[in-house]
Amino acid sequence: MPPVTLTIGTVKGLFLATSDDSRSRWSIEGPLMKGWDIKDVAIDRRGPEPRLLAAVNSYVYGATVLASSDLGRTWESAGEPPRFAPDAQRKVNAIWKVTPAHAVHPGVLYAGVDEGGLFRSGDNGASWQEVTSLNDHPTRSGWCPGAGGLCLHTIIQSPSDPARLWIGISAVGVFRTDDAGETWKICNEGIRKMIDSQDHAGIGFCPHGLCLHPENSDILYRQDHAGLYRSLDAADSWEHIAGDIPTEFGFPIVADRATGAVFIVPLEKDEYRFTLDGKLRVYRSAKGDAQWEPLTNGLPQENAWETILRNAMDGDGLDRGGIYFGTTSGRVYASADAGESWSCLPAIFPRVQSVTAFAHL
Amino acid sequence: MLVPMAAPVSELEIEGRTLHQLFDALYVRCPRLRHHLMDESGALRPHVLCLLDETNVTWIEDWDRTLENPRELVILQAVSGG
Repeated sequence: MPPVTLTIGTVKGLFLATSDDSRSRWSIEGPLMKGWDIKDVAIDRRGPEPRLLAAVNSYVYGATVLASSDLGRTWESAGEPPRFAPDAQRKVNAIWKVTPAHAVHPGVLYAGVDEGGLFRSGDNGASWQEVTSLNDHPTRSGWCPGAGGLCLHTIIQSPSDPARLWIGISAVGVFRTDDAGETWKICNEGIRKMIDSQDHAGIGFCPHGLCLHPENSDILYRQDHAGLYRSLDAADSWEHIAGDIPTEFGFPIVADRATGAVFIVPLEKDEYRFTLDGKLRVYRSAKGDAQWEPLTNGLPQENAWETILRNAMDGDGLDRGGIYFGTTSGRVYASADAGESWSCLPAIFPRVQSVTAFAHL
Repeated sequence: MLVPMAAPVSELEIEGRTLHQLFDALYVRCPRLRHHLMDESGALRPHVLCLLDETNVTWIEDWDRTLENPRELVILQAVSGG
């Protein structure tokens, strides 16, 4: 089994945790980019060597994108960061997501920002242009921010169609393009609405997390503010899949690439946003349906009042699936057996914003 | 946290006779600083404090006014409260 590295993005810098071949022992490095808020790290495997891209933020100094060609040890600016035009009346308050485009477009990246914006780079992040078809969407006047701001926090590139992307904005909804960003279809049918707009019926939804089935890119899973949903038609419509789970509020949702199972960490409803009854429980749906089972072996089951943020969970894609998540109290938990058992990494980090796992292939 | 992100050193010498010239000279030496000090509109970010010879530069209305022997431009985080 190859070693795995976790990039652990926190509000005060980036940490790296690298495993041994069994994924049971971890060495910790960091903080890198000390003091900066790392909301996301993406791995770009389209080139001859993997390249990491980080969404790096500061409430003092603004937001930027950094890149690493040595698996996270050293970082440098990718170029001029995403910015709205000076007369746009919008500001890049934070960069939430950086996502490589399809492999047939090797220099193309997308970045999602607060306030409500998508940017595209055609030169590996050296420069960025607004995707105005989305940023100036006819529904824009009805876009309302969620508790985390008006953040475009999710960007998913279809592996089977280079022109297809899904994006998620809180508290607006999910949109899909089938023509590389020329036009956008609103994709919230079947979801319970959070905010009514007098003028725009299709928006007012609050996706928290979104992921694709590892083999069938017509199937998506959605951890919404309103609960758990699945789409079998590329997000044209959604069905409720909460089953008898005790609480369906939460943020991240991850489909394991090796097993196809779907993982979530439910929280008590939106008034509270922490683990129900102080029990830290991951739930797994083996087939990505409404059958959820709690996974607790190795996770604290009393006085664990934790919150797991939307970018703070990932899988490594190895067999059996390695699943990892970080908490706002700074713990990171790892499973090397698709959630059957868990261990806590030997560190207490600052508030964890993002966890990205990649195997040293 | 700004220096490792955007500047090769924490102190350097620049030349300029106006505030605009000083900042432009600074950005020639440290191009990344412009984005981190100023927002989309060109205004200083609200939690950045720049002092020219101990005077807050936001109190200087005319950045094209010729300065008399400017000596030190200090850039700080405007950390307020705690």
